Amino acid sequence: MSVSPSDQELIERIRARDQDALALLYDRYARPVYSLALHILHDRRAAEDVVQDAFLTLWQRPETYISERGAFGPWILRVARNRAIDLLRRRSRETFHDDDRGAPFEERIVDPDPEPGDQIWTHTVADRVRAALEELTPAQREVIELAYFRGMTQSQMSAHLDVPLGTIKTRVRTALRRLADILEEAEVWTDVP
Amino acid sequence: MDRRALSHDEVADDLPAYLLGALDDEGCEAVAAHLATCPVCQRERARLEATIGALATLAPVADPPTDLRDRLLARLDADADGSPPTPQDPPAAAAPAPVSRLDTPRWMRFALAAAAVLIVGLGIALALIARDLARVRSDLAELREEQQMAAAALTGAARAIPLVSEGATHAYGTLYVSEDDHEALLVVTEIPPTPDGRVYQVWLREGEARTSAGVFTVDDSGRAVLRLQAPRPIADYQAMGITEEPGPTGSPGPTSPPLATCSLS
Repeated sequence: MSVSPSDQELIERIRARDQDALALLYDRYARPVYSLALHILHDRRAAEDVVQDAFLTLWQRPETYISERGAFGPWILRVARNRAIDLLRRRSRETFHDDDRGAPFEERIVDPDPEPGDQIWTHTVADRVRAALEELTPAQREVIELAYFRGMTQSQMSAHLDVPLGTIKTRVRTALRRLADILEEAEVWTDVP
Repeated sequence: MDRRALSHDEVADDLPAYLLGALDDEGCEAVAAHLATCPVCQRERARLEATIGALATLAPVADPPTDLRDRLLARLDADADGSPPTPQDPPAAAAPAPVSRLDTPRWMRFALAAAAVLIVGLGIALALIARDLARVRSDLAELREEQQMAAAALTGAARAIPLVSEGATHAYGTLYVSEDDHEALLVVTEIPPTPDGRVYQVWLREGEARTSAGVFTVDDSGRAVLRLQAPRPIADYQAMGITEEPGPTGSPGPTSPPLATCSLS
Protein backbone atom coordinates (compact mmCIF):
# COMPACT_ATOMS: atom_id res chain seq x y z
CA MET A 1 0.00 0.00 0.00
CA SER A 2 1.41 3.36 -0.99
CA VAL A 3 1.85 6.06 1.61
CA SER A 4 0.34 9.48 0.94
CA PRO A 5 2.95 12.22 0.82
CA SER A 6 2.78 14.84 3.54
CA ASP A 7 1.76 18.41 2.83
CA GLN A 8 5.35 19.50 3.27
CA GLU A 9 6.60 16.92 0.78
CA LEU A 10 4.05 18.12 -1.74
CA ILE A 11 5.09 21.74 -1.21
CA GLU A 12 8.69 20.78 -1.93
CA ARG A 13 7.60 19.05 -5.13
CA ILE A 14 5.59 22.12 -6.15
CA ARG A 15 8.71 24.21 -5.71
CA ALA A 16 10.31 21.82 -8.19
CA ARG A 17 7.39 22.56 -10.58
CA ASP A 18 5.61 19.22 -10.12
CA GLN A 19 2.01 19.71 -11.24
CA ASP A 20 0.94 16.33 -9.86
CA ALA A 21 1.88 17.56 -6.40
CA LEU A 22 -0.38 20.56 -6.77
CA ALA A 23 -3.17 18.29 -7.96
CA LEU A 24 -2.75 16.16 -4.83
CA LEU A 25 -2.89 19.21 -2.57
CA TYR A 26 -5.94 20.39 -4.50
CA ASP A 27 -7.65 17.05 -3.84
CA ARG A 28 -6.83 17.43 -0.18
CA TYR A 29 -7.91 21.03 0.37
CA ALA A 30 -10.15 22.21 -2.49
CA ARG A 31 -13.31 21.25 -0.69
CA PRO A 32 -12.83 23.33 2.47
CA VAL A 33 -11.40 26.19 0.41
CA TYR A 34 -14.44 26.18 -1.89
CA SER A 35 -16.84 25.79 1.02
CA LEU A 36 -15.33 28.80 2.75
CA ALA A 37 -15.38 31.00 -0.35
CA LEU A 38 -18.97 30.04 -1.13
CA HIS A 39 -20.06 30.74 2.45
CA ILE A 40 -18.53 34.21 2.29
CA LEU A 41 -19.55 35.17 -1.22
CA HIS A 42 -22.80 33.22 -1.86
CA ASP A 43 -21.71 33.08 -5.49
CA ARG A 44 -20.56 29.82 -7.04
CA ARG A 45 -18.65 31.36 -9.90
CA ALA A 46 -16.83 33.77 -7.61
CA ALA A 47 -16.07 30.92 -5.20
CA GLU A 48 -14.57 28.89 -8.05
CA ASP A 49 -12.38 31.86 -8.93
CA VAL A 50 -11.20 32.09 -5.34
CA VAL A 51 -10.24 28.40 -5.33
CA GLN A 52 -8.29 28.79 -8.55
CA ASP A 53 -6.60 31.96 -7.32
CA ALA A 54 -5.55 30.33 -4.05
CA PHE A 55 -3.93 27.33 -5.72
CA LEU A 56 -2.44 29.42 -8.50
CA THR A 57 -0.87 31.63 -5.83
CA LEU A 58 0.73 28.53 -4.37
CA TRP A 59 1.90 27.40 -7.80
CA GLN A 60 3.27 30.75 -8.88
CA ARG A 61 4.69 31.82 -5.52
CA PRO A 62 5.29 28.72 -3.38
CA GLU A 63 7.81 30.68 -1.33
CA THR A 64 4.95 32.68 0.20
CA TYR A 65 4.04 29.64 2.26
CA ILE A 66 6.55 29.51 5.11
CA SER A 67 6.29 26.21 6.93
CA GLU A 68 7.98 27.62 10.04
CA ARG A 69 4.98 29.90 10.51
CA GLY A 70 2.43 27.13 10.69
CA ALA A 71 0.64 24.27 8.98
CA PHE A 72 -0.37 24.41 5.34
CA GLY A 73 -4.12 23.98 5.89
CA PRO A 74 -4.67 27.25 7.76
CA TRP A 75 -2.42 29.04 5.29
CA ILE A 76 -4.31 28.07 2.13
CA LEU A 77 -7.58 28.84 3.88
CA ARG A 78 -6.31 32.29 4.90
CA VAL A 79 -5.27 32.98 1.32
CA ALA A 80 -8.73 32.02 0.10
CA ARG A 81 -10.54 33.87 2.86
CA ASN A 82 -8.62 37.08 2.28
CA ARG A 83 -9.30 36.95 -1.44
CA ALA A 84 -13.01 36.29 -0.80
CA ILE A 85 -13.24 39.15 1.69
CA ASP A 86 -11.58 41.52 -0.76
CA LEU A 87 -14.16 40.53 -3.38
CA LEU A 88 -16.98 40.87 -0.86
CA ARG A 89 -15.88 44.35 0.12
CA ARG A 90 -15.67 45.45 -3.47
CA ARG A 91 -19.13 44.10 -4.09
CA SER A 92 -20.95 45.23 -1.00
CA ARG A 93 -19.44 48.72 -0.75
CA GLU A 94 -21.34 50.53 1.99
CA THR A 95 -24.06 48.04 2.74
CA PHE A 96 -24.01 44.64 4.29
CA HIS A 97 -26.50 41.93 3.54
CA ASP A 98 -29.11 41.43 6.20
CA ASP A 99 -30.22 38.04 4.94
CA ASP A 100 -29.58 36.08 8.09
CA ARG A 101 -28.50 38.66 10.61
CA GLY A 102 -31.16 37.65 13.09
CA ALA A 103 -30.12 34.04 13.48
CA PRO A 104 -27.63 33.17 16.19
CA PHE A 105 -24.14 32.40 14.92
CA GLU A 106 -24.29 28.79 16.02
CA GLU A 107 -27.45 28.20 13.96
CA ARG A 108 -25.83 29.55 10.82
CA ILE A 109 -22.92 27.15 11.10
CA VAL A 110 -24.72 24.04 9.94
CA ASP A 111 -23.55 20.49 10.25
CA PRO A 112 -20.70 19.47 8.04
CA ASP A 113 -20.94 17.04 5.16
CA PRO A 114 -22.48 13.73 6.20
CA GLU A 115 -20.01 11.87 3.98
CA PRO A 116 -16.67 12.55 5.58
CA GLY A 117 -14.53 10.46 3.26
CA ASP A 118 -10.99 11.72 3.38
CA GLN A 119 -12.02 15.02 4.98
CA ILE A 120 -12.04 13.68 8.50
CA TRP A 121 -9.37 16.15 9.55
CA THR A 122 -11.65 19.03 8.57
CA HIS A 123 -14.48 17.65 10.65
CA THR A 124 -12.24 17.13 13.59
CA VAL A 125 -11.03 20.70 13.45
CA ALA A 126 -14.55 22.02 12.95
CA ASP A 127 -15.83 20.08 15.94
CA ARG A 128 -13.09 21.46 18.12
CA VAL A 129 -13.59 25.01 16.88
CA ARG A 130 -17.31 24.78 17.59
CA ALA A 131 -16.58 23.53 21.06
CA ALA A 132 -14.13 26.37 21.60
CA LEU A 133 -16.66 28.93 20.39
CA GLU A 134 -19.09 27.65 22.99
CA GLU A 135 -16.71 28.92 25.62
CA LEU A 136 -16.98 32.49 24.32
CA THR A 137 -19.78 34.87 25.15
CA PRO A 138 -22.45 35.42 22.46
CA ALA A 139 -21.14 38.96 21.95
CA GLN A 140 -17.62 37.65 21.38
CA ARG A 141 -18.85 35.00 18.94
CA GLU A 142 -20.75 37.68 17.06
CA VAL A 143 -17.71 39.88 16.40
CA ILE A 144 -15.68 36.87 15.25
CA GLU A 145 -18.38 36.02 12.73
CA LEU A 146 -18.80 39.59 11.50
CA ALA A 147 -15.07 40.03 11.06
CA TYR A 148 -14.20 36.62 9.66
CA PHE A 149 -17.12 35.73 7.42
CA ARG A 150 -18.48 39.17 6.57
CA GLY A 151 -15.27 41.12 6.42
CA MET A 152 -16.33 43.95 8.70
CA THR A 153 -13.78 46.22 10.31
CA GLN A 154 -14.06 47.20 13.93
CA SER A 155 -15.53 50.58 13.00
CA GLN A 156 -18.13 48.92 10.79
CA MET A 157 -19.02 46.48 13.56
CA SER A 158 -19.39 49.39 15.97
CA ALA A 159 -21.86 51.09 13.62
CA HIS A 160 -23.59 47.84 12.68
CA LEU A 161 -24.16 46.75 16.27
CA ASP A 162 -24.47 50.27 17.71
CA VAL A 163 -21.82 49.44 20.27
CA PRO A 164 -18.91 51.77 21.21
CA LEU A 165 -15.74 51.18 19.21
CA GLY A 166 -13.70 50.55 22.34
CA THR A 167 -16.08 47.77 23.36
CA ILE A 168 -15.79 46.17 19.92
CA LYS A 169 -12.00 46.29 20.09
CA THR A 170 -12.03 44.58 23.46
CA ARG A 171 -14.41 41.89 22.21
CA VAL A 172 -12.32 41.15 19.11
CA ARG A 173 -9.06 41.01 21.02
CA THR A 174 -10.43 38.90 23.84
CA ALA A 175 -12.38 36.55 21.58
CA LEU A 176 -9.55 35.66 19.22
CA ARG A 177 -6.97 35.27 21.97
CA ARG A 178 -9.34 33.10 23.98
CA LEU A 179 -10.05 30.92 20.96
CA ALA A 180 -6.33 30.59 20.31
CA ASP A 181 -5.72 29.54 23.91
CA ILE A 182 -8.35 26.83 23.71
CA LEU A 183 -7.37 25.52 20.29
CA GLU A 184 -3.68 25.57 21.09
CA GLU A 185 -4.33 23.43 24.11
CA ALA A 186 -6.32 21.02 21.94
CA GLU A 187 -3.50 20.95 19.33
CA VAL A 188 -6.23 21.48 16.83
CA TRP A 189 -4.37 21.75 13.60
CA THR A 190 -1.38 19.97 12.17
CA ASP A 191 -0.36 19.22 8.62
CA VAL A 192 -1.56 16.07 6.96
CA PRO A 193 1.38 13.86 7.93
CA MET B 1 -0.73 60.75 16.97
CA ASP B 2 2.32 58.77 15.96
CA ARG B 3 1.40 55.11 16.34
CA ARG B 4 5.04 54.06 16.01
CA ALA B 5 5.73 55.67 19.34
CA LEU B 6 3.23 53.46 21.16
CA SER B 7 4.36 50.70 23.46
CA HIS B 8 4.55 47.01 22.62
CA ASP B 9 1.41 46.31 24.64
CA GLU B 10 -0.57 49.03 22.94
CA VAL B 11 0.32 47.93 19.44
CA ALA B 12 0.09 44.24 20.25
CA ASP B 13 -3.47 44.77 21.42
CA ASP B 14 -4.38 45.51 17.82
CA LEU B 15 -2.73 42.33 16.51
CA PRO B 16 -5.85 40.10 16.61
CA ALA B 17 -7.91 42.65 14.68
CA TYR B 18 -5.03 43.23 12.27
CA LEU B 19 -4.70 39.52 11.46
CA LEU B 20 -8.47 39.23 11.03
CA GLY B 21 -8.40 42.13 8.58
CA ALA B 22 -10.70 44.00 10.95
CA LEU B 23 -8.31 46.76 11.96
CA ASP B 24 -9.22 50.08 10.40
CA ASP B 25 -6.75 51.43 7.91
CA GLU B 26 -5.04 53.98 10.10
CA GLY B 27 -3.80 51.35 12.54
CA CYS B 28 -2.37 48.85 10.08
CA GLU B 29 0.93 50.52 9.39
CA ALA B 30 1.95 50.74 13.04
CA VAL B 31 1.10 47.07 13.66
CA ALA B 32 2.92 45.91 10.54
CA ALA B 33 6.02 47.90 11.48
CA HIS B 34 6.01 46.58 15.02
CA LEU B 35 5.39 43.02 13.87
CA ALA B 36 8.41 43.08 11.61
CA THR B 37 10.77 43.55 14.55
CA CYS B 38 9.05 42.03 17.57
CA PRO B 39 9.70 38.29 18.12
CA VAL B 40 7.03 38.13 20.83
CA CYS B 41 4.38 39.37 18.44
CA GLN B 42 5.68 37.09 15.69
CA ARG B 43 5.08 34.08 17.94
CA GLU B 44 1.63 35.39 18.78
CA ARG B 45 0.94 35.87 15.08
CA ALA B 46 1.64 32.20 14.38
CA ARG B 47 -0.78 31.18 17.12
CA LEU B 48 -3.54 33.53 16.00
CA GLU B 49 -3.09 32.69 12.32
CA ALA B 50 -3.61 29.01 13.06
CA THR B 51 -6.80 29.93 14.88
CA ILE B 52 -8.02 32.10 12.03
CA GLY B 53 -7.32 29.28 9.59
CA ALA B 54 -9.29 26.86 11.75
CA LEU B 55 -12.34 29.14 11.68
CA ALA B 56 -12.66 28.33 7.98
CA THR B 57 -13.75 24.79 8.77
CA LEU B 58 -17.01 26.18 10.19
CA ALA B 59 -18.30 26.99 6.72
CA PRO B 60 -20.99 24.53 5.59
CA VAL B 61 -19.36 21.94 3.37
CA ALA B 62 -19.94 22.28 -0.37
CA ASP B 63 -18.34 20.32 -3.17
CA PRO B 64 -16.56 22.30 -5.88
CA PRO B 65 -17.61 21.50 -9.47
CA THR B 66 -15.93 18.38 -10.75
CA ASP B 67 -14.36 20.19 -13.70
CA LEU B 68 -12.73 22.86 -11.53
CA ARG B 69 -9.68 20.66 -10.98
CA ASP B 70 -9.18 20.27 -14.73
CA ARG B 71 -9.61 24.00 -15.26
CA LEU B 72 -7.01 24.72 -12.62
CA LEU B 73 -4.53 22.28 -14.13
CA ALA B 74 -5.14 23.78 -17.58
CA ARG B 75 -4.19 27.16 -16.15
CA LEU B 76 -0.99 25.64 -14.81
CA ASP B 77 -0.17 24.51 -18.34
CA ALA B 78 -0.86 28.01 -19.62
CA ASP B 79 1.42 29.31 -16.91
CA ALA B 80 4.13 26.80 -17.74
CA ASP B 81 6.61 29.55 -18.41
CA GLY B 82 6.56 30.09 -14.66
CA SER B 83 6.39 33.86 -14.90
CA PRO B 84 7.70 35.22 -11.60
CA PRO B 85 5.51 37.27 -9.29
CA THR B 86 5.75 40.99 -9.37
CA PRO B 87 7.59 42.52 -6.42
CA GLN B 88 4.66 44.72 -5.49
CA ASP B 89 2.35 41.78 -4.89
CA PRO B 90 1.26 41.61 -1.25
CA PRO B 91 2.03 38.51 0.78
CA ALA B 92 -0.41 35.83 -0.25
CA ALA B 93 -1.88 35.30 3.19
CA ALA B 94 -1.73 38.88 4.36
CA ALA B 95 -4.93 40.21 5.87
CA PRO B 96 -7.48 41.61 3.43
CA ALA B 97 -6.70 45.04 2.06
CA PRO B 98 -7.89 47.87 4.32
CA VAL B 99 -11.45 48.81 3.58
CA SER B 100 -10.78 52.44 2.76
CA ARG B 101 -8.78 51.50 -0.32
CA LEU B 102 -11.64 49.42 -1.68
CA ASP B 103 -14.69 51.20 -0.39
CA THR B 104 -15.24 54.02 -2.89
CA PRO B 105 -18.96 54.67 -3.00
CA ARG B 106 -18.76 58.39 -3.81
CA TRP B 107 -16.36 57.70 -6.61
CA MET B 108 -18.53 54.88 -7.80
CA ARG B 109 -21.58 57.08 -7.86
CA PHE B 110 -19.65 59.62 -9.88
CA ALA B 111 -18.54 56.96 -12.34
CA LEU B 112 -22.07 55.69 -12.77
CA ALA B 113 -23.43 59.22 -13.15
CA ALA B 114 -20.80 59.92 -15.77
CA ALA B 115 -21.73 56.68 -17.48
CA ALA B 116 -25.39 57.69 -17.49
CA VAL B 117 -24.52 61.04 -19.07
CA LEU B 118 -22.45 59.29 -21.69
CA ILE B 119 -25.28 56.88 -22.48
CA VAL B 120 -27.83 59.69 -22.78
CA GLY B 121 -25.44 61.60 -25.01
CA LEU B 122 -24.95 58.61 -27.23
CA GLY B 123 -28.70 58.14 -27.46
CA ILE B 124 -29.31 61.73 -28.58
CA ALA B 125 -26.51 61.53 -31.12
CA LEU B 126 -27.94 58.33 -32.50
CA ALA B 127 -31.42 59.88 -32.84
CA LEU B 128 -30.05 62.82 -34.83
CA ILE B 129 -28.13 60.56 -37.13
CA ALA B 130 -31.21 58.42 -37.77
CA ARG B 131 -33.33 61.44 -38.69
CA ASP B 132 -30.84 63.09 -41.01
CA LEU B 133 -28.89 60.23 -42.54
CA ALA B 134 -31.05 57.35 -43.63
CA ARG B 135 -28.22 55.75 -45.54
CA VAL B 136 -26.27 55.04 -42.35
CA ARG B 137 -29.02 52.91 -40.83
CA SER B 138 -26.91 49.82 -40.85
CA ASP B 139 -24.13 51.65 -39.03
CA LEU B 140 -26.68 53.00 -36.61
CA ALA B 141 -27.90 49.53 -35.74
CA GLU B 142 -24.35 48.60 -34.99
CA LEU B 143 -23.89 51.67 -32.83
CA ARG B 144 -27.08 50.90 -30.95
CA GLU B 145 -25.78 47.46 -30.20
CA GLU B 146 -22.58 49.01 -28.92
CA GLN B 147 -24.57 51.46 -26.86
CA GLN B 148 -26.58 48.68 -25.24
CA MET B 149 -23.40 46.80 -24.57
CA ALA B 150 -21.86 49.94 -23.11
CA ALA B 151 -24.90 50.64 -20.99
CA ALA B 152 -24.90 47.15 -19.56
CA ALA B 153 -21.19 47.24 -18.81
CA LEU B 154 -21.12 50.77 -17.47
CA THR B 155 -24.07 50.23 -15.16
CA GLY B 156 -22.18 47.45 -13.48
CA ALA B 157 -18.82 49.19 -13.54
CA ALA B 158 -16.93 49.25 -10.29
CA ARG B 159 -13.86 51.04 -11.59
CA ALA B 160 -13.35 53.73 -14.23
CA ILE B 161 -9.67 54.10 -15.11
CA PRO B 162 -8.62 57.01 -17.35
CA LEU B 163 -6.13 56.37 -20.15
CA VAL B 164 -2.77 58.08 -19.91
CA SER B 165 -1.28 59.33 -23.19
CA GLU B 166 2.24 58.18 -23.92
CA GLY B 167 4.54 60.11 -26.19
CA ALA B 168 3.30 62.91 -28.42
CA THR B 169 -0.06 61.41 -29.39
CA HIS B 170 -3.05 62.56 -27.38
CA ALA B 171 -5.34 59.70 -26.52
CA TYR B 172 -8.36 60.14 -24.31
CA GLY B 173 -10.61 57.46 -22.98
CA THR B 174 -11.65 55.39 -20.01
CA LEU B 175 -11.54 51.73 -19.12
CA TYR B 176 -14.61 50.58 -17.19
CA VAL B 177 -14.20 47.39 -15.17
CA SER B 178 -17.08 45.39 -13.77
CA GLU B 179 -17.42 44.57 -10.10
CA ASP B 180 -16.34 40.97 -10.55
CA ASP B 181 -13.36 41.98 -12.74
CA HIS B 182 -14.52 39.68 -15.53
CA GLU B 183 -15.79 42.40 -17.87
CA ALA B 184 -14.02 45.48 -19.10
CA LEU B 185 -15.17 48.07 -21.60
CA LEU B 186 -12.78 50.49 -23.23
CA VAL B 187 -14.44 53.75 -24.29
CA VAL B 188 -12.09 55.84 -26.44
CA THR B 189 -13.30 59.39 -26.88
CA GLU B 190 -10.38 60.82 -28.83
CA ILE B 191 -7.51 59.12 -30.58
CA PRO B 192 -6.14 59.75 -34.11
CA PRO B 193 -7.55 57.48 -36.82
CA THR B 194 -5.16 54.76 -37.92
CA PRO B 195 -3.65 54.72 -41.44
CA ASP B 196 -5.24 52.34 -43.94
CA GLY B 197 -4.50 48.72 -43.14
CA ARG B 198 -3.61 49.47 -39.53
CA VAL B 199 -5.59 48.95 -36.33
CA TYR B 200 -5.22 49.73 -32.66
CA GLN B 201 -4.57 46.71 -30.47
CA VAL B 202 -5.18 46.50 -26.74
CA TRP B 203 -2.72 44.60 -24.53
CA LEU B 204 -2.96 43.41 -20.96
CA ARG B 205 0.36 43.22 -19.18
CA GLU B 206 1.19 40.64 -16.53
CA GLY B 207 4.85 40.78 -15.62
CA GLU B 208 6.72 40.55 -18.89
CA ALA B 209 3.83 38.86 -20.70
CA ARG B 210 1.44 40.76 -22.99
CA THR B 211 -1.96 39.32 -23.82
CA SER B 212 -4.01 40.74 -26.67
CA ALA B 213 -7.46 41.89 -25.55
CA GLY B 214 -8.79 42.89 -28.97
CA VAL B 215 -8.37 45.34 -31.82
CA PHE B 216 -10.35 48.41 -32.86
CA THR B 217 -10.44 51.31 -35.24
CA VAL B 218 -11.96 54.70 -34.53
CA ASP B 219 -14.54 56.70 -36.44
CA ASP B 220 -13.88 60.12 -37.96
CA SER B 221 -14.28 61.79 -34.60
CA GLY B 222 -11.74 59.49 -32.98
CA ARG B 223 -14.22 57.45 -30.96
CA ALA B 224 -14.45 53.72 -30.34
CA VAL B 225 -15.90 51.24 -27.90
CA LEU B 226 -14.32 47.84 -27.30
CA ARG B 227 -15.24 45.07 -24.93
CA LEU B 228 -11.94 43.57 -23.84
CA GLN B 229 -11.37 39.88 -24.43
CA ALA B 230 -9.49 38.96 -21.28
CA PRO B 231 -8.82 35.28 -20.58
CA ARG B 232 -8.48 36.03 -16.86
CA PRO B 233 -9.98 38.54 -14.40
CA ILE B 234 -8.80 42.08 -15.10
CA ALA B 235 -7.37 42.34 -11.60
CA ASP B 236 -4.84 39.66 -12.53
CA TYR B 237 -3.11 42.11 -14.84
CA GLN B 238 -0.96 45.05 -13.89
CA ALA B 239 -1.59 47.40 -16.79
CA MET B 240 -3.32 47.91 -20.12
CA GLY B 241 -1.73 49.48 -23.20
CA ILE B 242 -2.77 50.41 -26.74
CA THR B 243 -0.43 50.10 -29.72
CA GLU B 244 -0.86 50.54 -33.45
CA GLU B 245 -0.51 47.24 -35.33
CA PRO B 246 -1.09 45.74 -38.79
CA GLY B 247 -4.76 45.10 -39.57
CA PRO B 248 -7.14 43.58 -39.57
CA THR B 249 -6.30 41.20 -36.73
CA GLY B 250 -3.30 42.81 -35.07
CA SER B 251 -0.04 41.19 -34.02
CA PRO B 252 0.91 38.28 -31.75
CA GLY B 253 2.83 40.77 -29.64
CA PRO B 254 3.20 44.56 -29.59
CA THR B 255 5.46 45.86 -32.36
CA SER B 256 5.29 49.56 -31.55
CA PRO B 257 5.43 51.75 -28.44
CA PRO B 258 2.12 52.27 -26.65
CA LEU B 259 0.07 55.36 -27.45
CA ALA B 260 -1.80 55.13 -24.19
CA THR B 261 -1.73 53.04 -21.05
CA CYS B 262 -3.49 52.69 -17.74
CA SER B 263 -2.60 50.93 -14.52
CA LEU B 264 -4.88 48.11 -13.40
CA SER B 265 -3.36 47.56 -9.98
